[in-house]
Amino acid sequence: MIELRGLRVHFPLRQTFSGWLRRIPAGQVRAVDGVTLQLARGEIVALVGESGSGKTTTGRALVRLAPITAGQVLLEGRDVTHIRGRDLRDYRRRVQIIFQDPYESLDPRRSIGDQVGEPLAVHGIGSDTERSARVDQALDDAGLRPPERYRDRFPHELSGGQRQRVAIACAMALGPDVLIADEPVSMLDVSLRSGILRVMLELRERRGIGILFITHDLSLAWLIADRIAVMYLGRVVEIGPAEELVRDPRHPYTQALLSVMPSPDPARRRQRQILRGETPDASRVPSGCRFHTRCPLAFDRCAVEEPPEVEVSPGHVAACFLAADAPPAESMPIAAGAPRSALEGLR
Amino acid sequence: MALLEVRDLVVEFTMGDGRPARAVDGISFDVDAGEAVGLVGESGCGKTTTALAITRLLPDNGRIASGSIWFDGEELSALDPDAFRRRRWTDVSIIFQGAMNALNPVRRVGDQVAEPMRIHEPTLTQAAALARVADLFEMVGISPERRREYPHQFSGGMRQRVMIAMALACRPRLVIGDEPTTALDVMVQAQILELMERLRRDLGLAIILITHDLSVVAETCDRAVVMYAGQLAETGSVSQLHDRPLHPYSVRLLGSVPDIRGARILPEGIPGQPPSPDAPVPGCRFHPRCDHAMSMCVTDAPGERAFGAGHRVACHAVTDEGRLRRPSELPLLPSAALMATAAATGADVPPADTPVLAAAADPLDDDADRDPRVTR
Repeated sequence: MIELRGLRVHFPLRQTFSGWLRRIPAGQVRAVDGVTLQLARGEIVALVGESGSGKTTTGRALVRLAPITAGQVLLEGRDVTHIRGRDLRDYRRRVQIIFQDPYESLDPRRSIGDQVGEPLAVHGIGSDTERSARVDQALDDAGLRPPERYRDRFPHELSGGQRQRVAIACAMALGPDVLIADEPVSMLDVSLRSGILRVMLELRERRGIGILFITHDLSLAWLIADRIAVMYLGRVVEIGPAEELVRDPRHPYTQALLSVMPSPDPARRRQRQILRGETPDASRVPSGCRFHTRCPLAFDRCAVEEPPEVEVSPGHVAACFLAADAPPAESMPIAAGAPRSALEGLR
Repeated sequence: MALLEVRDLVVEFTMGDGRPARAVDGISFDVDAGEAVGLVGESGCGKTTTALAITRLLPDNGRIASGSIWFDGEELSALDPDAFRRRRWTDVSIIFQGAMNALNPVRRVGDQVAEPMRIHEPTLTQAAALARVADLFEMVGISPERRREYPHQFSGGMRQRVMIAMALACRPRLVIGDEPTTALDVMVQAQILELMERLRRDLGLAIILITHDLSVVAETCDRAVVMYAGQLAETGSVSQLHDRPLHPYSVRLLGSVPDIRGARILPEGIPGQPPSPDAPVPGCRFHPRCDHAMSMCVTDAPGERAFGAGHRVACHAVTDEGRLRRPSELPLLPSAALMATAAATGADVPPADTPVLAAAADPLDDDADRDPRVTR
């Protein structure tokens, strides 16, 4: 459905005076540095990474909110990397994005119905009555039921969870095929998160949309996604079916991320594999494997040579020299083959 | 005797229209020396207010209306403001959530960390203070040379380390962390939690960790205090709370945390949201959201009962033997019955946050998801 091929988003840094004197070219921040990813119709793919991994920029580049330096974005096989004007508007009708902060993404002075209907007005879709029907449908899709209870309210009358639902309704009003959700629940209390996740699963079920779910929380990704892509410093370092990637992570970064996920069971306190330091600056990407500076398993070759993408099983790819070897037993603290009954019902 | 004893603490805020609102309503708990206690609950349950009352940092419209706070046998809440000021940082210090906002952007971090020492130990020389800052930085994992830098030169995790260094500057015996890792990446969160654990072990610190994430408490604390709407719902060791939670709120809270090592099931969440402190719910405050609610829950506030070592709970649905009755054993309210059926059949539960529109009723702040009192 939608596809990224070798996507790069580089932001130029301002030339420093001393650099100018010495004729050193200005540096650049390699926010996204070669991401290839496919999202099928009705599929949920999670893009997981820490701050600075480039996951948000990838999402923004997908809706053409970030400048694409190289690579391609394809929608149903058609190259949309450089479309403009009317084509771009049509594209954005089909690919919508929602942001993390439900407090800032809504206009405090306008009613909910008004805001959800705005994209329809902008795109000149339907008559007034048709628009109002579509607004109600979008509110209902986002779980704001019955819609007439919310249409005339203002954002300040709603809780954070409800506001995020309004943001979803705004995105759904145009009937998109793809939804990019950038950390949609990370500002919400844990008790409210499930509601929003459930809305997304329902949207996939009822409308057949594909969702790119961007999050820093591996456990949320694992809960709702079909596939997970783990990003580090502008690259996807591991991608695979959600259950398999969590059960059998092959990249040392994924393994470390998994080992530090807190568990509500105090009996499961275990050896955390805490990485030292922080993700390096994206303007100074390390040579060879970009993770080698923090990797507990790094050896000489990692510093000089970029690791190959190893397909460890169908659809499960890790960019690591060691990926072909099964990880040592103690780094696999995950229970295998857990049931997924609650999810099954929604699919 | 416990290091910190909070007894029947009541904190009231005067609202814009002059009415009082009780953000904390009669909570009691202890923290032993060297112990880590988690204060858990959703936003708006009075966790932060409790911490601000202990450290006497309540905003101007808030006050301790009754109850007492004892530290090492001395009544902190009876001290006059000047006497208390001498104790803050030396007995109890606090680490706030937003390290972004808690540091002064135009002062060097080293000077900021040294400030509490200068105030509390006027005899300390400049050189001695700087040497101690360097040691503190080393202890929390920041290179000592960085003490001449400004906050904007630090990442979020590093700023939180600066905050921890500052909290330790005057050798306190209790450190309160108010959501110290909430805004951080998982790996940085793990680093900070590990640091706090190490400091607790090495320095014999007692820690109160405030969080809405029960899994963070399970990883780092000995005991947990579950708060709901300003009151104690349940307290016990982290394993008691995990293995045998008695309060339906604790059960629900546990059920809303995904466990990547457990079953891949979408957590249930909790319908509705906590009541606003100026519109208290009669009876048990959790009853409108509870799938165990009976008619007595609407009229009578449940008293606290103790079951076994340090396990206390306030709920009518718990038997005298310390077992939470199943909803099917109880004469449920219609609303509770609906929730219980939905949970049992996996039917479409009403959206978790639909029924309550409390934000509009809260004149203090239009932001219902955050603790409304903290922003003032």
